[in-house]
Amino acid sequence: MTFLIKYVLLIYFVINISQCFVDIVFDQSLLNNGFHRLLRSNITLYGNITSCTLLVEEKLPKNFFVIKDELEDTTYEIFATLNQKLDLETISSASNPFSLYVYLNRSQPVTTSLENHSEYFYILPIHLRYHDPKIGGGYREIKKSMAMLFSRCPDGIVTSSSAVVKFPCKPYSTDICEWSSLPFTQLVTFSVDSSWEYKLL
Amino acid sequence: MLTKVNLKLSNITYHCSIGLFIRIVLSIYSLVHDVYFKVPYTDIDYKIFTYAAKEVLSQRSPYEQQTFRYSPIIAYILTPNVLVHPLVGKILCSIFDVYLAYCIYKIVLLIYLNQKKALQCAQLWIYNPLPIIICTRGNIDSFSSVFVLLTILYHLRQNYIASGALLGLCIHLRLYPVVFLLSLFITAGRFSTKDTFKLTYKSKLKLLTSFVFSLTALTGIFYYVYGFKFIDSSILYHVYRRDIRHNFSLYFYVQYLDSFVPDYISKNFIILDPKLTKNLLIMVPNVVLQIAVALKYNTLNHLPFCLYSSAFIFVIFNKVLTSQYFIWFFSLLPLFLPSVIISTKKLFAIIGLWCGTQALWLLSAYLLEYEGYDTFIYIHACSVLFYVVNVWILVTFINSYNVQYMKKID
Repeated sequence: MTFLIKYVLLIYFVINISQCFVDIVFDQSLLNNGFHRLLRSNITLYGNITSCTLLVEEKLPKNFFVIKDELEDTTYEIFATLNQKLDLETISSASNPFSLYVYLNRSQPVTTSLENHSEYFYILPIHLRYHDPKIGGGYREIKKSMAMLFSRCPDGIVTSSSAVVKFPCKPYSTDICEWSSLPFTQLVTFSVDSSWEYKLL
Repeated sequence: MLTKVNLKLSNITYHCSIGLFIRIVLSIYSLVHDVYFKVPYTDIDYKIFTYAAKEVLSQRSPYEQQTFRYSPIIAYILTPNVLVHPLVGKILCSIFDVYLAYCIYKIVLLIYLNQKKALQCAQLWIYNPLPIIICTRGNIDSFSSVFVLLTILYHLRQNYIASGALLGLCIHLRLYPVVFLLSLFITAGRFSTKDTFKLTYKSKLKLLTSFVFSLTALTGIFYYVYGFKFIDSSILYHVYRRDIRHNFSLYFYVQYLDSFVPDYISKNFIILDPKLTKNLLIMVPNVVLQIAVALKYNTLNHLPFCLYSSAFIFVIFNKVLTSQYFIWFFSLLPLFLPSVIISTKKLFAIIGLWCGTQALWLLSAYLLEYEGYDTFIYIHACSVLFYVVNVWILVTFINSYNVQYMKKID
């Protein structure tokens, strides 16, 4: 592979949970080339849960970093929070995986909101770290694990019978709420470049 | 009518106004560019300054913003970015940048006693696309460069208390003017090579006292407010910094290759840490050349050229080099240009080679950063080429520097 990134794995995902009242289509793709990417996500919900708040947990590998203030930048209009402070200047091997929580509620840009059908859309600016240098240079594959989707609905609306987990009610809030898991499977695979290996003998 | 036009054209304020207008227009354009183009016009650091300003306004430390490595004064100055509009900071940068041209005018006038030359030198800054672009990208180096030029101006006026205090402020804002200290110390009160230390020690004492007081006071105040994080981020970081991301520096690639050294290697170097040794070795040529330049150009008349050479050497031999660093020596270049005798052919060769090698580097860097091609080795090759061209340019300036057109300052 002589140039970087034939990325994007489009995932279409429809889940029918027998005891759940919603179907979910989670469409995710990676935009741009190089070290500065945009993770574009589109979630379509078929079902009467338009009054629910959704929470996406993105587990990102150590090869990535996000800039906290960039997430708050009005350009992207997302409400997201990190589970840890990130060092933006370290190489991949000296970094750690991290989680990013994206809150999606009605104040988010909803492209359509028809009866029994609502769409949530967000773009995450993510950046790649340099790999460890490697002889011959070239590219390395990074696997991003699946995102997790949770919902929090007003009383009386049931979205799933799956496990209930506890997360902050809002970004940067200390109040903890119960969130219902909306399980599905996801895999996004793409390649990024590395450089020469260093050998000191 | 014609006389009126001529009067206007020979007026520094008129040119400064045009320069400011150009910069403001470009700053407004940057807002549009950033929305529509993949490669943003605005410097990433500008966002960091704005984020730091946001922290300050929230009664927090600007160092909560992890990559903010500057004086808190920068965050304070840029609070209008949050309160009013992000464009305000760029307009402030533009005002400082134009004031820098005015400082050039004053210094050249003081040295050469020639208004026409002074105006031409200021115009070199006002209409130069490089500083225009760098400043409208939101680079704050025009802030510190203005204070560097004021330091020179007061030093040449033999007001050593002011020049010492200003140098302290410069170093507080940006660490690099520390390399000017030796030259300023040597030239304080020294009008000719015959002036001994005994004759000049009072001037030197004034300079040192006000310098120490100014730097200590500023450091002390902000240490009191923000604690050790201020010292670590704005001072120590620049000493131990190892930037593995690509940059113009000759040493970028070796630092990247060195970013991952297996444990068994580190353990075999019990006494000398290889990374530390390498960092120290990188500094040796820079330090030696700084001393050589300070000793060679050791009188007040030579101060602008001496500081230019010093800044130039510091930048091209530094372990990290980004385009904003060019402002450090570029702002000093017009101060001595009337004393440089150089053929047009050579001048075009300097401009062509300097821009050409930089363009090559930028192309390789773009392909890596935004297209994802594995171009590390090409970036390194371009960095080496750029370094060689820079050394040649410095040597050319040294050989072409002629003092006979200068007024002897006394």
